[in-house]
Amino acid sequence: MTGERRVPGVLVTHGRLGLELLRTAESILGPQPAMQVVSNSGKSPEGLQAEIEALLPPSGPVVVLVDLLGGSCGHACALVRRGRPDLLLAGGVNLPMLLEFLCHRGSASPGDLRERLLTRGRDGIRLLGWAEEEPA
Amino acid sequence: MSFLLVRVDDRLLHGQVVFGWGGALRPGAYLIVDDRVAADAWERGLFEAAAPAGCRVEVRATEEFASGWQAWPEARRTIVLIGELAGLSRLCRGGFRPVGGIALGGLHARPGTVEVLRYLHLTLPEIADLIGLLDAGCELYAQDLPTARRHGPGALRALLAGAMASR
Repeated sequence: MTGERRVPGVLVTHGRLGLELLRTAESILGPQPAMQVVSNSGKSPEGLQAEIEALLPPSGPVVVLVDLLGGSCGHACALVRRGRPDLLLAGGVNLPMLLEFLCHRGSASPGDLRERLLTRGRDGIRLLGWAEEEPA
Repeated sequence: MSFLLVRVDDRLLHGQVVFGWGGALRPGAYLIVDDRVAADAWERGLFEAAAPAGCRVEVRATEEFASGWQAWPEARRTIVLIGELAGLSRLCRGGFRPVGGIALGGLHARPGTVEVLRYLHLTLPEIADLIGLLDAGCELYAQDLPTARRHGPGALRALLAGAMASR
């Protein structure tokens, strides 16, 4: 992983969720530069949007990970995305998705990274028990 | 005219509304009354796309709602979300008096605001305006979630006056 190619990330969540998600990921992978956290706590929609915008690089690829699309965080991120075709907005962030992003943002192509976030975030969700079919 | 809920919230349609109130009240529609969103096709589309399953999201400018609220179709299944106090003020001064009152549910900190409640931050002119609306007979109350304490018009007036006096 080369520092120059590392895609920066912004994690936007309710409350302290983002802070703790990143802290947990760093306990697994070590410190993560070029990774910012924003909370919606106590912020007006305009204030939240301005804070996210201030953390984005002026140009180039960036990934914004948000806990819930259709909420105040997701709405602010979707407004930020306007006019930024190099911004990838990833909704429903979970720990598997975040780890995948942090592990591959320095090496994967944008298309590959996009596919990895979706696949890993979704496949990280599994239900065991109460099931019609359970692996032996 | 009785709506399911009329709420003032600068975040409009978001988690507290969809999961908190929507879960408790089971609306068929959310109606966003906000001039800025009504004038912005991109943002309007975002809210419409965020409609929970089985629900419709509609957006109206304040003036359009002001002239139609008394005969709103399916009002009893509709949650009305007003984004700006200026819009609320215009509606109320034009005679908007929904049965059940109007909830102040979320106005967040901005430059020049004081904290009236954890979820209610207002400028002094806004506080004066709200006291004026209470004086004019608007049934305003403060409550952020269905399970939270409801501060009725009298309690709200005392909170507003207290916040004003503290400055």
